Amino acid sequence: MITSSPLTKFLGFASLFGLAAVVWLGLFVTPDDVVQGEFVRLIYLHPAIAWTTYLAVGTVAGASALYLYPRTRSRFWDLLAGAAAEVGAVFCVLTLVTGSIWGRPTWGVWWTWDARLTSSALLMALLLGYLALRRSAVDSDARAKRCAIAGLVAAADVPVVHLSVEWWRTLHQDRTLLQPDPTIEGISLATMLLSIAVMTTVFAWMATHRFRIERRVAQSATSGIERAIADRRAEGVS
Amino acid sequence: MSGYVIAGYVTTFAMLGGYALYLVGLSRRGGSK
Repeated sequence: MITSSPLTKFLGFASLFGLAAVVWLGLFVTPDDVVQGEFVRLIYLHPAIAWTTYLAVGTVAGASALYLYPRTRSRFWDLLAGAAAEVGAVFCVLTLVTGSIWGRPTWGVWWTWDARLTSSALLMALLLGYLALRRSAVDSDARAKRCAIAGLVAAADVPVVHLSVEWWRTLHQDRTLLQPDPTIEGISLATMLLSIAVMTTVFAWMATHRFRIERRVAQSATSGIERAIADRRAEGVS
Repeated sequence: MSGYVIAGYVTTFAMLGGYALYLVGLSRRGGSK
């Protein structure tokens, strides 16, 4: 099964070179932070990974809404939502893991039931539930409709995750970039922005491949059914 | 360099690399079924 194309090859090479650049800048070029010391180097990964989780769940929500709307309903949107959800789950796990690794030396604990962490863990549970629902053995149209609703429910948690640091008193620090006076600048800011762009590229590469794999599976299943129907009809004629 | 920083980078690239290899394997095998 061929799922690569000039676009995915470009995205793949851009991801590899971009990740190498992030490692080089993040570990060897950027200076230590006056407050966080060398642990700031984890900040070149964690927020970019968290942003990519938002992007993935946003893709799930958009595709799910387009599937549920009768005039745009298409198998394409269902498959796209499924692909984005799986890649999003990978990034969501990484968000929790890298956050935990950063939290241990900074806060003194691997985990705390802080509003940001708890809502992120809830998002992980919602994505896993969504993926479990995709494997349920029901009619594909009914499954797609249920998954689309589950995708929108999961997406409703994203604003809660993002704004939790403002809505509640949390141990997690405030937003780093999306505020009037960002707390990061110079080469550190450039590295963080590059990391966001690179993780977005990695997501695009992975989601495109995942989507194409599932589309080929769906096409082969459909052609298999059509072949079986044709065989049965041929038996009836003869 | 701190073990936490190294652990963060190693975990990230191990997981992204592992999932990328899973996709390659899935692509060669012919899907998730």
